[in-house]
This record gives sequence, structure tokens and C-alpha cells, in this order.
Amino acid sequence: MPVKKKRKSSGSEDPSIRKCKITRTQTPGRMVNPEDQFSNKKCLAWFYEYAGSDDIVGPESMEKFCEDIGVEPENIVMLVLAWKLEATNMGFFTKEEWLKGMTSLHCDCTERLQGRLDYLRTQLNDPVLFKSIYRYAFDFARDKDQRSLDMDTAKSMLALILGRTWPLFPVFHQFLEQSKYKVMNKDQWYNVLEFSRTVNTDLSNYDEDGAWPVMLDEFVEWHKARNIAL
Amino acid sequence: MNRCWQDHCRQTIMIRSIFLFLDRTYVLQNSLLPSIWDTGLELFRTHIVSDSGVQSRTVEGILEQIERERNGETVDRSLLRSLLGMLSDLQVYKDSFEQRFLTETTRLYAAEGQRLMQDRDVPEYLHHVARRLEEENDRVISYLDQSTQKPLIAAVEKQLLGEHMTAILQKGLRTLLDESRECELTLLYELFNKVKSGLTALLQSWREYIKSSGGEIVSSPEKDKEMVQELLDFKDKMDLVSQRCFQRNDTFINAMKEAFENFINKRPNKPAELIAKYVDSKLRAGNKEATEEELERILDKIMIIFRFIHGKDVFEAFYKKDLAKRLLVGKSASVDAEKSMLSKLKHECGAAFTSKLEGMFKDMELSKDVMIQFKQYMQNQTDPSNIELTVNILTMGYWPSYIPMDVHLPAEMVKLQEVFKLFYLGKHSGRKLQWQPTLGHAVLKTEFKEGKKELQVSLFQTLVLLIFNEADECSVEEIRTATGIEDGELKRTLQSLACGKARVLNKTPRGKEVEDADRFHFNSDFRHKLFRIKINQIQMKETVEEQVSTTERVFQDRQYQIDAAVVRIMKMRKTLSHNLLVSELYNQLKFPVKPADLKKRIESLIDRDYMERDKENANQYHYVA
Repeated sequence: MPVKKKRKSSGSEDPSIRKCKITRTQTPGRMVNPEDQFSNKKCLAWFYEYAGSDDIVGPESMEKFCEDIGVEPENIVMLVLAWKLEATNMGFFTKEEWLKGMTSLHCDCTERLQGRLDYLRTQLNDPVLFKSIYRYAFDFARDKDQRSLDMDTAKSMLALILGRTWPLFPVFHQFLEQSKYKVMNKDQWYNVLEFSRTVNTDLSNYDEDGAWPVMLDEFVEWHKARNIAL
Repeated sequence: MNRCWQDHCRQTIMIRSIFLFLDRTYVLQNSLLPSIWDTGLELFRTHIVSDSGVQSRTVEGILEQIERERNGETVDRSLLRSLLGMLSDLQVYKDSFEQRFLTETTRLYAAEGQRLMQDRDVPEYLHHVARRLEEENDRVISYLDQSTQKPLIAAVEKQLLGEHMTAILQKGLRTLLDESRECELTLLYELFNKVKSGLTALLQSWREYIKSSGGEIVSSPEKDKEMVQELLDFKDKMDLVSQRCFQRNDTFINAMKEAFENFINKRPNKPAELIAKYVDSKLRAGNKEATEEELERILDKIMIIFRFIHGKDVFEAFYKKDLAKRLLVGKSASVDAEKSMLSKLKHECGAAFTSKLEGMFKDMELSKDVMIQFKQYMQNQTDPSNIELTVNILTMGYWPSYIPMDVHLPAEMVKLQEVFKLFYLGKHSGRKLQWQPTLGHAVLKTEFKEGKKELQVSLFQTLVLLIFNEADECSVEEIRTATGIEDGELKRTLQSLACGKARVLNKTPRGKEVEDADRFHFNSDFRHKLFRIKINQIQMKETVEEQVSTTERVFQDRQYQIDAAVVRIMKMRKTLSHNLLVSELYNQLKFPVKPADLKKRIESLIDRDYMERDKENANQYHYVA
């Protein structure tokens, strides 16, 4: 198994720089095997394995890529990977994104990446990084012609990111199902995370006069009304 | 007991008389001697009055007498007076009598208050209380000691009024005010004025009453038609009450204003709309019920009501629409009244509020000048037209927006339009003229069998009627193709000509509604006693649409105003918390708006990148330049 390496703290724009600063490792105590040093060439070849003649990994090759690394496309780790690669479009990796991102991850082949998946998952546990991933997800999933996320995408993205951690998510999902909202804008998206983090499950500390988007006001009202009706 | 008492009285009086006599004749001359009067009093006090049996019997006797008097029997007041005088001379009045008297009084009136509150209605009760107070005062004057007056009256007031304040107000105020029984209300005010916190309670109920009664007037949609009139009447009534009965007490007048403001705005927008319509009905021509001064007075009253309205923009929108109609159709009752209303509005809401309305008047005046010039211009024209054209040039933006409609005008009209266009643009280059056929009207000269008539009709009606110059009978479809009038409008027009009061067209088959298959022909047998006949457009459906669209436009405007206010504030402050922004908005916005609506606008501005949320603190906004 390849040894996990800490990605370089600064940007590694120049692919010719060999990764020598391996002083700190993700898991302390592990020694770095010099054989496992990152190869830029290998990485590029790996990219073309999927990209073919185009300079981009498209949806179909993406599926194969997922298969190769043993992850389902709808697994949250793919989102984290895309975030790491700073991919702008869902289902696509450009060459620049690939090279830059994979370099930072020190991955130049399938096996190495597989070894890094756990590390990617741990990123979700850091609240600051999680927030950044969450915010990134909006632009990532957004149809680039539109300012907002259409509701179906929004719902599945929320399910992916918050589904496991936010106890109220099933209720919120139901609310979205019956609401008249067709899209979710950035502000609403950002605030759903804040909401999920700060508001109690029983909504007791929700401040109606706060700056919450109207959508969340409506959700709270709807939820309370439903609780009374039940 | 009574007999015994009478005897006792007689004796004591006699003793007292003897003392008096001795005192007068002897002590006066021998001032050095201890006063016999005093000695007598002392003796009397120690031997007779201090005897608890005698004292209590005396006091009880007095109290019994007083109670009897209170129950309406006549008693010997002079007897009571002398007895009480004696007690006070003996300096036992306060201790032995007054206290018991007051407890007795309290007990009696507490019971009476309870009983009468149950049995009698409030006005009667009030009169009763007033009478009781008078009696007690009388009692003090005729035989009680002066010092008793205060505690006595206080006790009576407390028992009869203080204890029953809420009950009186709950039970009676409503009816009193409903029936505007001035004299009882005055009494009520005066009585409550005497009791501690009475006026506060009255004030409270008064406010509640206005709120609930006013709320009833405002809140029922079925009664919309009479709402404004009822409001005016109600305001008059309340004014009268506060002036005549409540001694123009400022707090009451203020409470009334506050209550009015409160209930009128309970139902948003509709009252404003109805006030505008009411003003329209008053300012419209043919309103012969009022003289100029009366009209002026009504307008003043309306302004008072108008002052309470929060959403003045709704009023403006409807007022403008109606004003446009009055001006264009020449239906305004009097220019003076219009102007006076306008100046009132200006005074109330500022020049910005009325600038558009003033612009409309200006347009009308300018149009008149233009028409005079146009007439001169036409006279110099080589090709005189047989139609007289009057054009009102309306500045876009001042007037309500009208949807332009394309219709086929007769060649002569089109030509005339061109002539005017040439004339007008020659004077004012760079302007754009757009004709509004929906607003046009015309006078047609017609020959019926009965004789010549003049028909005053709208432009659409004109177009339809002109078809019958050439054809005898037409179908709906033919008329539509010939005139180009939109379907719904055409049907209404035909309905007004063939199914209204003045039927200059005949419709087959007959009926109230116009169907696609109907055919029309000219009614040459038409009779009417007047020479000039006005045929009204049927407008029912239109007004509903108009009403909805006007309201919508107002709401649209409000959104822009909110947006503008948010951006203005944010531009100045750069960074502001949500709550501060909202409160600042409420300061700036002059119409009622829900917090949720403000939030929606804020969100929309965030979405459009005019501002952004703080990345860490969702309650904080930043201005985005």
C-alpha cells in the first residue's frame, strides 16, 4: 500500500518539482517509501487513460474511473475528491484540475488514490473543511447557465452531504417536496448548513426574527404546524 | 325601639335646651367660673353618652334613621341634626359615630351596588349613582359634620362605582356609544373622573370599543360599498362623544386616533382603495347632492380618515386611475374641488406624492392650448376635414398605463391623426405620440325615423356604429374584422349598443348577452325623448380587472421601493446586521410591510449580488459595490 503523504502546503504549479518535502506525514510515524514518490508523467498518463484524446474526463469515463477506484459515483468521497481537484463541473475533470489536484494529493495511479480515500473522508470531519466542501458543492452541482440549483439536484446533494449527519434532514426533504420552490439559491443553500448546525432538532432555539432566509422560516412554520396536527 | 328612641330624643333635646339656656344667661356673665356648658357637657358625656348601652343605642338609632332616609322614607332631619351636633359637641362624633357610620354606609352601598348592577341596566344605574351622590352631599350639608363629607363620598363612590367599574364598562359602554346617549356618557365621564383610575379604565374601554366597532366596519367584504360612509359617520359620532361628553380630554382624543389607525390598517389596502373610490364618487359630475361647501367639508373629513391609512400608495394608485377617468371623460364635478383635494393631499403627503397628479392637470391644460393652436392650424389647411378632433396629450408616467390596442379607424380619422401628428411633432420634435383608442369618445350625428339625434359614445362604439353606415346587417365576426376590436371588448361594446337602455342596434336573436352567432342591424325606429343621448360603456368586468391590476402595480412598486431602500441603506452603512437593517427599513418605508416580505427582498438582492451575507455570521450583511 502506498504511504500517505501530506499534500504540499503551497501550490505545486510547476510539475517538474519533485516532491521532496515529505517531512510531515498524515499518519505520524509512517516512513515514506522513496519508490512511491509522485511522478508527474505517470499522473498525466493516468489522466489520458480516462480522457482519451480529449483533454477532459467526461461522464462516461468518470464512471469507469469510479469503478476502477472502487467507489460508486454517488459516494460522498467523490464530492470531496472533486473539491480537492477544484473541479468546476459535475461529471467532468479537466486536465488542469486533474494535474493540480492529483499532485496535491500525491496520487499518480489508481492504487495510490484508493489509499487516499480514507484521508479524503476524514476531511469531512473538520467543520471548517466541511463547510468549504458544502459551499463548494453548490457551484459544483449548479448548472452553469443558472444562478441557482434546481430543486431536484439540491435535494439529492443535500441528501448526500447532510443526509447522514442532520437528524432533521428527512423532514426538511419532505418540506421541499411539498413546497413550491423550484430552485434553491446560493444564500438558501449556505444557510441550510448553518441551520443544520445551529438549530436544535426540536427547533426550540430558532429565532423567527433572525436573518434566516424565508424558505427556512417557512420550513420551521410548516414543521411546527405539522407537529401540532400530529 | 322607635318609640323608645323618640322618648330618648325628646329627653336629650330637653336637657340640651336647659344647658343652652343656662349657658347663655349665666356663664356669659361669669366668665371666670368654669363654664357650665362645659361642665354640663362633661357630665353628660360621662354619665349618659359614655354609658355604652346608651351610646350604642343612640348611634344605632341615628344610623337606623339615616338608613331609613336612604331607603326613601322621610325622617326628622332636624332631630338628626341636633343629635349629631350633640355628638360632635361632646367630641365623641368621630370615634363613636363616624366610623360606624362609614362602615354602615359601605355595607349598605356595597349591597346596593351588587343588587342594582344585577337588576338595572347601565344608564339607569348611572343615574341612580348620581342621585345617590347628590343625596349624600345633601345629607352632609343638612345634618352631618363637614369633616365626614370626604370619607363619606369616597366610600359611596368606591362602593357604587369603583367596585363595578369593569362591569359598567363591559355592560354599558357599548350600548351607550352605539346609541350615542350623550347625557349618560357625560355622566359616566364625570362619575368616573371622581374614582381613582376610573378614567384610565374608561379610556381603555373607549379604545377597545372603537377598535372593535371600527374593525367590524372595515373587515366585512360584503359591506365594502358602505364602508367609507360608515367610517365617516362613525368618526363623526366618536368626535361628538369625545367633545361633548368627554370634555375634549386630550388623552381620549389621542386614544381615538390611535384606535382608528389601528383598525383601519387591520385590513390592508382595501380601505385605501375604497376611500379613493369614495372621493371619486364625490368629485364626479352629476353629484348634485352636495354644494361646494358641503363637498369641501366632506373632503376634509375624508382627509382625516385618510391620515390613518398606512398604505397611502394604494390610495394614490386608485385615485390616479379615477382622476384620469374624470379628466378624460370630462366628468369632473368642479375643477376647484379637484384642485382643493389635490392641495389637501399635497399638504398631507408632500409634493412627491402629488407630483404625478399635478402633472395630469398640467397635461389637460396644455392640451387645451395645443387644441386652440391646432384649430388655427386647421383653418389654414387647404383640405378641411368634416370631423372635429380634440386631442388630450398625456405625458407617459403621469397617467396610469393603458394597454395600447390596435383598431381599424376609418380613413378620415386616420388622416386627421396624421395631420395632428405632423402638427404636434412639428412643434415638439423628438417626442413620440401613441394613440390610445380605448380612451377616445365621439359625438355622432344620426338620423332616425323620429328625427336627428346626437349620440355621445366611446370610440369603440363609434367604430361599430359607423359600420352600419354601409351595411344593414352584420354578424359579430364581420364587425370584428372591420373594426379590429378585441373580442371581449367588442362584445361589451355591442352589448351596450343593443342590450342597454338606449338600443340603437337590434340584435337577433334577442337576449341580454352577446353570442358569436348573433346578428345586428341598425334600429331606425329608435326613439328617445332627448336630443343628445349618452350611451354608457358596459364596464362591470373591466373594473374587476382594473382593480386587480392596479393593486398589483402598487405591490410591484412597493417591491422596487423596498429594494431601493435596502440598497440605499447598505450603500451608506456598508455592513449592517439583519435586525438593524430591518428596523432602518421600517423607518424609511411609508407603507405597511411584513418582515417576511422584507426578507424576501433582501434575499433577492443577495441573489442578484447587490449585497452578501457575512461568511461567518449569517446575521450580518455587506454591501457589494
